[in-house]
Amino acid sequence: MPGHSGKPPGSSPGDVTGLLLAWGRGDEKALEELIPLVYEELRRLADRYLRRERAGHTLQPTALVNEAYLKLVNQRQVAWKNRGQFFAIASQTMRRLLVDHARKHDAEKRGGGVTHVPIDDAVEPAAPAREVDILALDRALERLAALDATQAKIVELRFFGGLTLEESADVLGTSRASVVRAFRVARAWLERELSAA
Amino acid sequence: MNAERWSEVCRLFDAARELAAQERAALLDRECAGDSDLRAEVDSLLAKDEGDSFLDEPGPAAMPVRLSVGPYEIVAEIGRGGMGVVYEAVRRDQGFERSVAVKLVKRGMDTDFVLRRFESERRILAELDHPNIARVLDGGSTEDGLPYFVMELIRGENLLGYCEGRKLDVPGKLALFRQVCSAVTYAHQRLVIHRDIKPANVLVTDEGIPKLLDFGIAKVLAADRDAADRTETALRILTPEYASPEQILGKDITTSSDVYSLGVVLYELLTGRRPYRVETHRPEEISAAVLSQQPERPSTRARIPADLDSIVLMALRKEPDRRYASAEQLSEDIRRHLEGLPVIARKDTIGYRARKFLARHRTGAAAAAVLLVSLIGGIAATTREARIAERERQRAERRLNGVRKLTNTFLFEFHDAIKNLAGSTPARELVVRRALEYLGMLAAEGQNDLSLQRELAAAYQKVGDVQGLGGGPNLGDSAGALKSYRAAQGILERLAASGAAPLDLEELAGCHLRLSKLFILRKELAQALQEGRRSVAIREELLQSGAAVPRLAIRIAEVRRHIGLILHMTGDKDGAVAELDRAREGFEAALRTDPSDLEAGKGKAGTLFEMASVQQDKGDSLAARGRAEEALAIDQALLAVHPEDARLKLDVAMTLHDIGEYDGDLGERKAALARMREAHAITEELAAADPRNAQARLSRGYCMRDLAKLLAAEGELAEALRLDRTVVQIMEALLQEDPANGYARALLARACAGAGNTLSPAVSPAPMPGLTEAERWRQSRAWYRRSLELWDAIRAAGKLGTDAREAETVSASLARCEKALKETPGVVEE
Repeated sequence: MPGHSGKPPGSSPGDVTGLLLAWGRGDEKALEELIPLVYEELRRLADRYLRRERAGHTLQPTALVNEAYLKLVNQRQVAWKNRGQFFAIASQTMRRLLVDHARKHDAEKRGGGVTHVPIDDAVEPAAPAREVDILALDRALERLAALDATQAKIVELRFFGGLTLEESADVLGTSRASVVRAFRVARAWLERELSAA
Repeated sequence: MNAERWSEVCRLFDAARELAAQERAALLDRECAGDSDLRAEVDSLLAKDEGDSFLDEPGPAAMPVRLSVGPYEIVAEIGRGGMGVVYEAVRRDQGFERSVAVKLVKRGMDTDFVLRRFESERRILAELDHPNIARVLDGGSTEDGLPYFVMELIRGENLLGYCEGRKLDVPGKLALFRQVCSAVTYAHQRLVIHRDIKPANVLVTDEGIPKLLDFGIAKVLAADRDAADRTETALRILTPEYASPEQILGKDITTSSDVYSLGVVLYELLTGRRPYRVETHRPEEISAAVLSQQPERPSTRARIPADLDSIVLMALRKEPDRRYASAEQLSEDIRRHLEGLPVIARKDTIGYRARKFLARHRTGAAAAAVLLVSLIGGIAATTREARIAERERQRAERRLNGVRKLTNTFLFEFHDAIKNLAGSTPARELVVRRALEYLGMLAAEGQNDLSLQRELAAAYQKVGDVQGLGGGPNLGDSAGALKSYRAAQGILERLAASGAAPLDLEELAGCHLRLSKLFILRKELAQALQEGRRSVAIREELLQSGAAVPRLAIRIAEVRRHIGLILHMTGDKDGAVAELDRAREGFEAALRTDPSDLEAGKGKAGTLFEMASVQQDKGDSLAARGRAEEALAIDQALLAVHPEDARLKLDVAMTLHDIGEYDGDLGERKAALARMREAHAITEELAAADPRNAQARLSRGYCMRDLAKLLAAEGELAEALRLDRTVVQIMEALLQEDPANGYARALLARACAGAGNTLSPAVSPAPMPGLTEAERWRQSRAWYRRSLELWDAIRAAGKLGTDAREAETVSASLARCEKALKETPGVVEE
């Protein structure tokens, strides 16, 4: 069983919290420092989860993001607005991580076939995990972003960051209704694209 | 496609998806006229809009990953489901590590409500101790306010996976399933309903032992503050495939709902499929199927015998009262199937029974008759249990008004119905625990509701009776009883102060009487007398004022008899006789009106019994015996009419005991021994029938001690010593449960002194084989010392009263032992 060890080297909750707060105050440079910290932590967590995945565990990307957040950010000091920004970064990072992982996995299998990462949010054997082809999803999202960047972003926030539509609306600074509309069509489009593949 | 065209697609998609099919077509015909690509694009997206999507999962951002939950350190995540996350965790702050499963409930539940519910359930859940139930160990909330439950960690595979993996045959599956049924039956008998039985909640260990998880958790989480959102709650929390129709409809949930869910599990176990055919897995569609579809016969989906078809379908009936009456009955029917006996699920035709009968022609007609009787008996018994669980369910299910009404129903009807039944103590203990939890909740919630306050006062008194009132079967918790009575008194006094109704005052008088009785048990006689006098004063005043209180005269006689008893104990014999005479007059007056009045009859017999005892103390054993025999005749006549009344049996035993004493006083030793043996036999029987009943155990010790005394006088020393030693054991056990039980301590002191007497060569000159005289003196001294220590403790607690004489006798006996040990030639002190 992988244990929960201490803090990741080179980062502490203080760093990320401070950077987030600075970013919230309009300090753009803080963001540049922030992203690598988040990426590092997520990669570390993902490695651990993916190791476990091989032992029969399923990967839960949103759980990773949350775990990273809890480790990196002092929640008492950070307002929701900043929290949303963190998740925006994290979901983007998560997507990159998963895609990297899937590519590597594919390469290991000498380029053969499609990598399915089971996305399982239920422990019921009755509801078999729906497998999502991460690479296909990533490519579809690229194409969607070309048509409507906001729609792609919403899916990213939701799927890779685990944000609700309300939270996504907050992050994007738009209304819930427009996020719902955008998500609805993006959802139908992605379903069609992925089922066609 | 470019961004511009895409935005047009999006616009049409948005507009169209709001519309019904016909209008939708009209809109698209109009807007996409001549652009078939556009139309195809929008149509294909709309088609995808209908179904499920991998993007529909609500973001688990609401469920942060954690390092710890409360004091439990997370080791690994075991799984996630509709309710939240389950972790494997350890607790390290208790000096040892223990792996547990921690179920963290996701945000959205009302934490306070869940926790309150859990608090009221936790002891009951924690006590579910069955080899096929994973125990609930703890519960609490995290710093950020999420409720969690801690359970025994089971390493195993879920029921379906296990059966598949091991390729179990039908009998193998049925054997596993019957173990699950036995767990459910066990819980139902303890008034706990599972509410969420499904294969994922049954883990089978490597040793092949199925363990049912999450018992009672669904109830704790069913935050149905009102019935309106119960359906929604049911859908949110439960797995609709396994939920019963009544659960889906948000109706009352009973043990029968668990029977239904067991039926679904059995269906799936046997056929590999769920009972209903559904297209999607949307909760709404499944719910509709559960409510309206008839399940297909399992035999159409798998090769299984017709009996099993019937068994499964009977468990799955939509109407709860047409299912098996209990999980046990379901399990029994499976057993009958396995043994080739007729199953009750099959139509009960003569032909069917006859076929089964012929198939087992080895058995005779007598066996068939036995089977029939056992079937009927089995149904009757399980229905009764189901009814008890049902009543309990109702009480726990409803909020304030329901709880209040049912608390009364439960306490008054259920408890009264079983209180005089031998063997009912554990059930009554459960009643008490539940009652106190709910009463505490109610007392806080309904301060200004007069009728609620009345009900509460009555309920507290009832609880006090069960906890420790000396006169009836009780649980030996006199401190708890005092607390409950005082709570009732406080409520009644507040009611009396705010413009008293006569019945409130009568209740208050009754409460003082109960307190007085309790104080007697605790040997706090001054307090007992004071409470008794308060009670009689209130009742006399009510009688003077002509208040319409039923049976007031009998009640006054009751208190007077009681006060007579206390006066006798304090040594005021004349006062006692006067009070008892007035009591007897009261009871006799009532019996003139209605000779069959049980209460008045018991009252008169009790009064005579007490008068006899006073007369003995006054030195008139002949008169005493006359009174006692009068009392015995009344009690025996009542017992003939009420043969199940344990209390009456006890009265008969105690009267026989006293008559034996009077016989002894009058020198009629043979008669005395016969009476005492008779009394002893009755108390043995009563204590054996209800081994937890403190009163029955005390009476048993009492008769045993006095029988030992008579036997010692007859020279039956070994037998006498054996009996006194048993008394010591019984009293020690009683005192361990209730250290404030004054009677038990005094009787313990007496039994020790009795053993000392039996061993003392001076008191019991008959020989004791195997013991030298010196050894007898030494052992006798040890017993006397122990007795004296106990009497000293009783004196120090101010509870010695008239027993002072006995304590002095022991002191003198001890001195004689010391002297004898010094003087006996050949005795060397070690």
